[in-house]
Amino acid sequence: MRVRLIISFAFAGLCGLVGCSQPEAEFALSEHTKNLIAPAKKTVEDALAQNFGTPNDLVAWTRFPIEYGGHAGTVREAQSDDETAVAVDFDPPLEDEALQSGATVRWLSGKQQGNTQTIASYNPATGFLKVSAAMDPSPGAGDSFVVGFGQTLKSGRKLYMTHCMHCHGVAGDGAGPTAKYLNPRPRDYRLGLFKFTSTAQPERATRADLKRIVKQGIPGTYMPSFLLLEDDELTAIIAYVRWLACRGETEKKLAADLSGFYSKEAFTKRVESESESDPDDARLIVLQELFQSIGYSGRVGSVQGANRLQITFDSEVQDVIEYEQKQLQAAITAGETAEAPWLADKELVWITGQSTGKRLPVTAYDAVTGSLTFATAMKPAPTIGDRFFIHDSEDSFEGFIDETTNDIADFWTEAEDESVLVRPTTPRTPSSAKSIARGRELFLSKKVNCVQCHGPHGRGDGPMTEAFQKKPNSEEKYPEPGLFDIWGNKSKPRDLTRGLYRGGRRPLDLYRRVRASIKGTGMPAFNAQALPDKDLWDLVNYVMSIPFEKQAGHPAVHTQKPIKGDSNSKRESSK
Amino acid sequence: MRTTVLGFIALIAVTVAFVIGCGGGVSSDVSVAFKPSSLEEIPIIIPGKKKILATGATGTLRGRIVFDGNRITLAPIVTTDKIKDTERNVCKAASIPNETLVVEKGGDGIANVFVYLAKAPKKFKLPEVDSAPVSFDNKNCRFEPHAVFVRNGQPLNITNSDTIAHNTHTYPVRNRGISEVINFDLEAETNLGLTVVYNKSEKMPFRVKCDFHTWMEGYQLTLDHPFAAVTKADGSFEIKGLPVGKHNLVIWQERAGYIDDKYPVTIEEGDDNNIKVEVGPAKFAWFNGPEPKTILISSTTSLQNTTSGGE
Repeated sequence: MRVRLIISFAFAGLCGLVGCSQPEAEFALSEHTKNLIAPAKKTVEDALAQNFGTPNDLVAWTRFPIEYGGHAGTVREAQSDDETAVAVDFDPPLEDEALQSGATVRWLSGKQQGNTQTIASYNPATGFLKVSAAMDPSPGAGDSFVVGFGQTLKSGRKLYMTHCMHCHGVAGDGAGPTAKYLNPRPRDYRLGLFKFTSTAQPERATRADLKRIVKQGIPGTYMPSFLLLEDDELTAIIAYVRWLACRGETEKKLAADLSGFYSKEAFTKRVESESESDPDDARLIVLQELFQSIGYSGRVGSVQGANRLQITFDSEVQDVIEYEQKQLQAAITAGETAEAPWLADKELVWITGQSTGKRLPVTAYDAVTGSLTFATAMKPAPTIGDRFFIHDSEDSFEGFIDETTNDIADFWTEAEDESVLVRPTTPRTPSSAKSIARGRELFLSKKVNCVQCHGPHGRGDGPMTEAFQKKPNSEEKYPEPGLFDIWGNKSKPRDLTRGLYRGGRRPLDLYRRVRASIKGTGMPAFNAQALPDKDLWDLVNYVMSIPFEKQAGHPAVHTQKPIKGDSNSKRESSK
Repeated sequence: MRTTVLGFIALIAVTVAFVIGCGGGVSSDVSVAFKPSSLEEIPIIIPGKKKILATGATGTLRGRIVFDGNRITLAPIVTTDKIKDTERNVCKAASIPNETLVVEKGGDGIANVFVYLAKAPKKFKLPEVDSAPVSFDNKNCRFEPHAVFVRNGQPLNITNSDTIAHNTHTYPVRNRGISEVINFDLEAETNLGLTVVYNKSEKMPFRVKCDFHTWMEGYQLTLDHPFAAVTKADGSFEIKGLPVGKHNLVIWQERAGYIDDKYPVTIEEGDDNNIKVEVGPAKFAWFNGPEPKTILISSTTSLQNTTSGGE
């Protein structure tokens, strides 16, 4: 007996010990990123680390329309006599207790831009803000700043790790420790898509949509309701979820863009297909493209100084250089403004030698002598024969990240715009036998064709559930028949006889599912031309009546004759 | 009895240890770093840089993509008897062709191949965007044309010529995808279309599907420049107004993927630029998953084998 007891205590102790060594939370990479060759994978990893940080050191990029938290304000008046004080206005105005001494002030514009100070005191009555150290130069009127930046994101992150992470994963990839036991699977945020929104078909979800889902949960799934959380806690969680979505989508787009050529399979194939006998040459050719190089590579002929080299370009690019030089010469002759000397806005990337991987901005190149000048000294100095290629910094990967993140920011900003909100233009037709009969007619019609997926009885067993589908952007088919969503999970058309609607059961919710689609799934959007409001309300009335039909199913489906209102009202009255 | 109580305590201890211990980094300190929105806030000025935008001399590129090997005719995906009764009159008496590889009848040209420049030529002033819409129709339960190029900013008119609902579901990478039902008005017999304008350059063509009809498949490509073409039924294409000089063409076909991602061409002024690209059948080989396993249960030998394997 005692032995058993000792064992169980030992076990308890062991569990305690094992359990307490908390694993460091980290953002898992997507499958696409993992499948890239090392330099391409590093490009994605670096971009993510720079722009989003790690779970413990978040980077809040203000480009994204995410409420990171903090109090924004502007300087009302600079204080000429006191270098540690300014009179400020907060927008929105601050409540008395909201600002504590010790909070950080970060300057967003003016002479102090980028600097931070610590608050010594703040008087809400006068708007007089005092910081702990003198500011030199002192900020001028109109300069903007933020106090306590990142509070919301920080608390969102903590709440997320407590309440959401177990299913949705640290990176919001829908692959938390519990995820594999759940069906339907938890949402993977990394496509930026959420199924149930109030916005038009191509648009993202609004903050209100996400908040509603967190608050109410999703009936029929494992997503519970979080009604017990305070409103500011919900706001913080939503901010963090949106931030994770932006991070994930950035990763997805970068990886998708690269994987066409730089996935492990594609790279091997390419290197093999290059006709070079030297594998280094083949690798060089392929790697140049990773850097979107302009395609000139060469070797060091002689070292002429700390920032000067004599080089020779590899022979196959010689004619291209001549051509470019001719173009430039022609432009000068024609009296046009010549651009900076050729190669002057480019970068040199070393691929062999001591500086392998380092980059150097070029300031000038003399095509006649082959002399290349750099802005800074080369450290360590290259040796003769070291190989390099010229990288067009104007066209670098950086620009790609800028463009991609701008797009993502735009998508989320647009979703909040009132113009994309899906609102009925006519009020709902009251549910009547007549309206339900019309709705049923539409449900079965060729024009609306709900039957194709939801089946003639609305049981979610239409012919599409029997067909084999291809995976998106691949020629491979799914191993089992039926519809699949964009996340690759099987998605069943809703069984409408159950009366359980995941996106909400208000008539407006059903209206929006039909009008604006269920995003990422096979449920398409019916725009106002395809299905005018009046028809749509009839359809909604019918769908809402399905669970209450006395007889499950309907009479012969293939009839194209409209069902008389009478027969339906009789059925209803007999209930 | 005492042991039971103690054991119970031990159990609680285990549970508590788990609950407390497995916070998963919840309690660790979190920092939030500030990153300004864009480069505008930290201006980077590159002095003395001025681009030469010239219209310059241009040439027209013509070419053909041909099939180099024994002719392949693919069987129709859906034959008439497989189409549902209610749709037979719409989805045509004719069967649905397999358009993943279309070789010219009585010739060797490959249709529906995308030929394009991956990027707009540098230092070249692009012509204005053509405001004439490009048509993309749902007709006889297939997309017409099957493959289409549309420039960014140019309207793409998606229409439906059938009297049943079609849904046009696109899968672009950079642009926002649509999934909209393209309908028709039975009474007025008008075609209620949808106009889409893409504004981002894609790297390669993307698939278009109809969620109502599994077999329906089309491809669209959108770029920020006009230098792209889709081969016609005879495998020929034409790209007008290419700036004189060297270019790398991307040649892409839905079944083969990249036939070439940097096919070099040198454009000279005028119309006399012709290429011919031959593609062997190996490119069109298609991975359809692993070979299905065959288990013979009618044969005594294999039954015995199965049993012995199981033990």
